[in-house]
Amino acid sequence: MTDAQVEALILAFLRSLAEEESDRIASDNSKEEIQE
Amino acid sequence: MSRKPIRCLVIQLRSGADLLESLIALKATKQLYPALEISLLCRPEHEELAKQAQWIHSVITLPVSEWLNPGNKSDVESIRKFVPNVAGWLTQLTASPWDLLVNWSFCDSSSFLSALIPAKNRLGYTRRADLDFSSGDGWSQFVHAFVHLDIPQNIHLVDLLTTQLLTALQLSHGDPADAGNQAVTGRGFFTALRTSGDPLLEPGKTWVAAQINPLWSAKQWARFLLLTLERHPETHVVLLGLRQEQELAREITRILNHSGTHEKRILNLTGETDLDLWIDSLSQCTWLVTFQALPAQLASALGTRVLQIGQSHAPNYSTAAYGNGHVLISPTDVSVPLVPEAVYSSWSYAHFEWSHRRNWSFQEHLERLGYQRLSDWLDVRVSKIRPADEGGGLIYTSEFKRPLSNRDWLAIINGQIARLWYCGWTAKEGAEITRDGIGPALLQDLRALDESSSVLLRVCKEAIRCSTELQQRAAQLKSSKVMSVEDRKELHDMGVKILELQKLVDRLASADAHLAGFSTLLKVLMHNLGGEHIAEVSKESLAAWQQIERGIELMRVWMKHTLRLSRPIAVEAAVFQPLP
Repeated sequence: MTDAQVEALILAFLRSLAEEESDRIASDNSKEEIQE
Repeated sequence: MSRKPIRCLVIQLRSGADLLESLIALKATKQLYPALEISLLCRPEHEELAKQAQWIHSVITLPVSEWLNPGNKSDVESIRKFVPNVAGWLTQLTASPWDLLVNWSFCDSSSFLSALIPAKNRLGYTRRADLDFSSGDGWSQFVHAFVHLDIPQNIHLVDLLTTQLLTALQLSHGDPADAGNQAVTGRGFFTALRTSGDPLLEPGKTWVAAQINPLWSAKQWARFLLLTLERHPETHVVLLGLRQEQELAREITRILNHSGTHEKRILNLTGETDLDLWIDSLSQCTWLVTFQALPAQLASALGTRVLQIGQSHAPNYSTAAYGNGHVLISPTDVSVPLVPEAVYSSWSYAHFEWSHRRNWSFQEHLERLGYQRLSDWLDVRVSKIRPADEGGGLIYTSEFKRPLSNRDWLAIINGQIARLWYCGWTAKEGAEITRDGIGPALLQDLRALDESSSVLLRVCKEAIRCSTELQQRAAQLKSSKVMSVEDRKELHDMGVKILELQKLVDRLASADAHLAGFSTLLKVLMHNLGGEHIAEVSKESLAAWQQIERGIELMRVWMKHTLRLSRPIAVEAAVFQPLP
């Protein structure tokens, strides 16, 4: 893999991780709301 | 079989329950391949749990919070500045290629991570050089097309992961060792268990752990526990739960103490239990009663029986507690939640199975308890690991003799189709389908399926004919890039026709939900077509259509068997009494 490909993969990884974390936090919050 | 360590990296970034399912699959695999040296990549909050499994070689965590600023997550520029940090962190995983890289996270981010780590063999989601999504192995494609889209299938996720890993190891490292009848789950699962000092729970008693949470009120929990304590003097109860459940626990114990002299038979560990104590106490209990997946999987790994209370009318059996004798109960109507009496009757029937030996049915058990009216609102399923000659694997079977729902029938058939595709094995025709499980609603749907599946089969055969022609025509070309205008047009027309047939499969699947799995899998297979040249791509396309065809043919065999079973049986003449 070239350095550019590695950088593109890492960037894509971080972006999707950020989206998943955001979804996870939203889903945890909604669970708490249900429990309350 | 090679004795050299097989270096294997497993990526599991999902929930704690997913991590436990992965650990059970890994333990089963390690028993068969002792040379497997497993490194586990997990979320930081699961590090402590993963490290309890001391047969795991090393635990690596993904420092999510160091890379992501919670207030500014989707900002590309703020993310870009962490690229060097991630590259630095990755060096511990990229020093030398892994023998096997297993991505069991089945999520987008993990697919990029998998592509960044060098490995000789790879399972699960990953990315191609152009960042396009790829799921190269059969079981990952099945997870993508069936499991994640909630298309009914009855293979437990632990069995699926174990089979996927064992198949890969068998291909790359030869046949496994003979593990005999060594149990996978049990007290030895987490080797860090406390072995000295006084036992946490008094020995010689039947301890039932109740993992309380606010889905039931204190009165409801107390009602269930009272039924258990009053009717079964040998039982003791340990309350488990998070710190925020301490008030609920105090209210439950107040009601129980007010109702009788049960004080000495209740141990309240709510909010006081760290992971070691959870493991220690659960491993000493006979039962865990819970609403939640994580404690259910933890108890099942420790060999403690689980009664899991489902809230959906169609709970997911493929992610329920793994092992023999677990109970999963669910309401038949989500607007009518389960009552404590339903949980008590399910628990008492399962707990005393050694005594009644199923001489009376669960329905009769409800009648004896005076709860017969509950049967309309309750579904109870018990887990059993099938014998090896029946294909092995865990199955949850209903305690009620009710007609199979359409979803249940489809789950059985799709499970068999997956075995045909990826194990090359199928159960005896019609296994697990009995005459009394066939009702009028199912029959009506299957008659419609007879027609729709027959059309789908014809579409498949036409696609196979076109793909074969395309492959043969492409193989005759001297170059896949330079060709005559006529050849190009001919190949283009063939490709368009195959695409139209794929759209037809979509339309058939939209009209008959039984066929949805074929449509989604076809999309996944088409997305994952490999090869540089048109001849290679058309060869893989042909293989994809042939796989779908084999699946439809098997579905039709089982459909016809089910329809045959429903026909009236001719009564033998000898049974008739001659008229005087």
